[in-house]
Amino acid sequence: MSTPSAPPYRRPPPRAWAFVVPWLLGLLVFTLYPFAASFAYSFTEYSVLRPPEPVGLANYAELSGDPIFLRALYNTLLFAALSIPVGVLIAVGLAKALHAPIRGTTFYRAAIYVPHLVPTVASAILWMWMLNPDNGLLTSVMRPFLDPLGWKAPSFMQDDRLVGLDFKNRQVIFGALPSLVLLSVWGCGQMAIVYLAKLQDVPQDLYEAARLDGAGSWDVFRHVELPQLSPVILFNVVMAIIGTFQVFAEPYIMTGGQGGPNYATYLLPMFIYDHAFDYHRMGYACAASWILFGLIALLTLIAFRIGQRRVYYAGA
Amino acid sequence: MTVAQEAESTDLRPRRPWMRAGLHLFLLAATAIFVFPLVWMVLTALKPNEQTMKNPPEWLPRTETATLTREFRLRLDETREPIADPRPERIAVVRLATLDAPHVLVKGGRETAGDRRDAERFVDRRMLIAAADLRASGGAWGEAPAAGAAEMRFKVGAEPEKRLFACEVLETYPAGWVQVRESIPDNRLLTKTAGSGEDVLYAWGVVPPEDLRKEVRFFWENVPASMRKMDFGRYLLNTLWVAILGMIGTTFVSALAAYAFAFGSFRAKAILFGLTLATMMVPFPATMVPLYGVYRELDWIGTFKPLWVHSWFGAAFNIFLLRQFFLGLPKDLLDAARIDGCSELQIFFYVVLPLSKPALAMVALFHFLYAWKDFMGPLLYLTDKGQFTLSLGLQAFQSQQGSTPWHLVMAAAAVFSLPLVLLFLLAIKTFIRGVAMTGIKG
Repeated sequence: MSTPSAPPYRRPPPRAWAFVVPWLLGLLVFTLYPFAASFAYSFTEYSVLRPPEPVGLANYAELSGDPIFLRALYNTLLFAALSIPVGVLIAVGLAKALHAPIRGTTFYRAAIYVPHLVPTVASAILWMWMLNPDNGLLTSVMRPFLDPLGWKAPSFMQDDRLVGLDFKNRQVIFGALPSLVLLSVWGCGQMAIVYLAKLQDVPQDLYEAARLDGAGSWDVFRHVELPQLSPVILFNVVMAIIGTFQVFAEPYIMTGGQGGPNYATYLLPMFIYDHAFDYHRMGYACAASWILFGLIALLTLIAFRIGQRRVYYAGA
Repeated sequence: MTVAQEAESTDLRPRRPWMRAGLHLFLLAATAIFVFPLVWMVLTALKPNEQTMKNPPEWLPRTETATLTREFRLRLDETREPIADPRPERIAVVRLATLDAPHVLVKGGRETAGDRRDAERFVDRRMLIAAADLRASGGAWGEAPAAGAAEMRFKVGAEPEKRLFACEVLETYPAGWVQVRESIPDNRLLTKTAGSGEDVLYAWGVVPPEDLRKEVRFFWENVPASMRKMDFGRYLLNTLWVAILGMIGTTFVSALAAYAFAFGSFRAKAILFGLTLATMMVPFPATMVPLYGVYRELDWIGTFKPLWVHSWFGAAFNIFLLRQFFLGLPKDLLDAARIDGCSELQIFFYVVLPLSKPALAMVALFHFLYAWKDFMGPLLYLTDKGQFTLSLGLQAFQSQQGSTPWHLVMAAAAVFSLPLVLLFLLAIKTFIRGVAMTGIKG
């Protein structure tokens, strides 16, 4: 800025600061205050009827021994651990296939993106219908293959188990939580579109160099495309972590607000919702919500840590 | 190999035809998997209720029609055992409607009258009303014979030869029962004119199997029926109100803040921007409880305000996206405007906004999608059924009945999803660019 010969640098008057005022006000009222307040409430016993009473760490202590909370925590982690990797793998595969210069990619792109557009309520209801164990489509499609063997089709949302084979009752197991994962993976076309856009940005000279080095298509994917894709994958994984930990509508709708069967689809947001608005234990709910937030922050940090080692940043 | 081909081969165009075919096959399979549930939703929406329960499922909506030319044979008990009839005929449930005024037979309405779930029993028990009785009682349900296994014969109308009509079979029961939906001879469905749930009529009748005709028919009338039933129009207006108000607010205010973060110079700009980004990580459940408290203090619970007012203070993600876009604008233009004596507000309105239409459209579009789909917000803040948005209304429609009328629910879900799909097809470029931008630059 200032060179020795120039006149002393004077800070210009602030510019456009007023433009940010509405946003800052909103940030304060709709995010920062509630965020801080929920932290404060988490140390109180607070129902709507009475003012909050400080109880110290009692809420957190109670949470650590609350089997339903622990179940919700376990479900949420399991749901994330299943749906994010599966979604990313399928999305990368689709993006790679769509990247090939063949005809009709616009059509394919539109087709795999469309499920993402369907409103959550509509898709949850649609999958309830598809996964109906009596005459749902999936059951009916599986039956002709399973009936001759004497096996039963899965009961999907009515089974609290995960995935497997039940030899005693001769039934294929595909339970409620995996069904939720299925619904979530159905919307992964959006991620595929993102990855595809990044693949299309990969500089041509990288391909050329790889080809000159005699790289096959797998080598190109592994050593050229995947490193280029990695920062985008990291970013999307982080966004997916944040999103997955907030999943509420799907299990709420598909289980009639119960999170059943036997708490198999009871996720943390539902736990928070129930305690805040049904049982009127606002303080307890806030404590749970802070654990949810801590979890998101922790996992995001871990993702970035792994990212630092694994992700290739061009020019960095 | 020509130079052009050589150049193309650097982007790894599949050289062998089988590879290309394999890719197409893979992508077609993926397309089928991703799109099929939606196709199934639409197909279900256009079926008669009875057909949705078929197992194994039938793909296409269809109807079976038969012409009833004979005297009816009716049962008055609730069991569905076939009538002990010497002739090996098929038994049918026939839905009758007024053919012409004097000879209304029975009222009922099962599949369209979800809030009268016992309509079926009701109908079965009191199926029969002599035409004259009905006439006398002014077209109401009239006096019905007592329940029982009595078998009764009656003539359809005073002049049987004029009472011929066609029927559609709704379902064939294992024991040989056939359910028939009635239509008038020229194949127009009477249920249309009769209106759903009110004037639809049932009776049991006999249809010889050879008289049955199967044909594909899409029950488009399910769409208006479901929309009426779930109060779709009102929910639509509510949703549009919330979505459009919020959309205008968030686009404008986010753009203002983005401008400040992109071109402004003031103390703590970097810190405030960092804070803005950090808040994207705060999950909604973590702020939900005190936020609810704020809205309760403001007495906004049970109003639309919690769903749109916060948008008029911008949104972190939108600010971030718009800032990235603004930074890509040619700076010379802004400097030139500044030298010409434009104020920052003028630069914002006359230089930056006109140049940023694609980004603004994207932000507006994504907010609209968000508001259209949002379920948790309306669930928390709306208390009165008349204020529901479509998301909440559809969920209520699905869960209010013990046994869901799946065809109507699917019809509502399809109509609810359709505007977004249409928007997408119309603005496919904005969408794809927007999705790529939100996912990459972010």
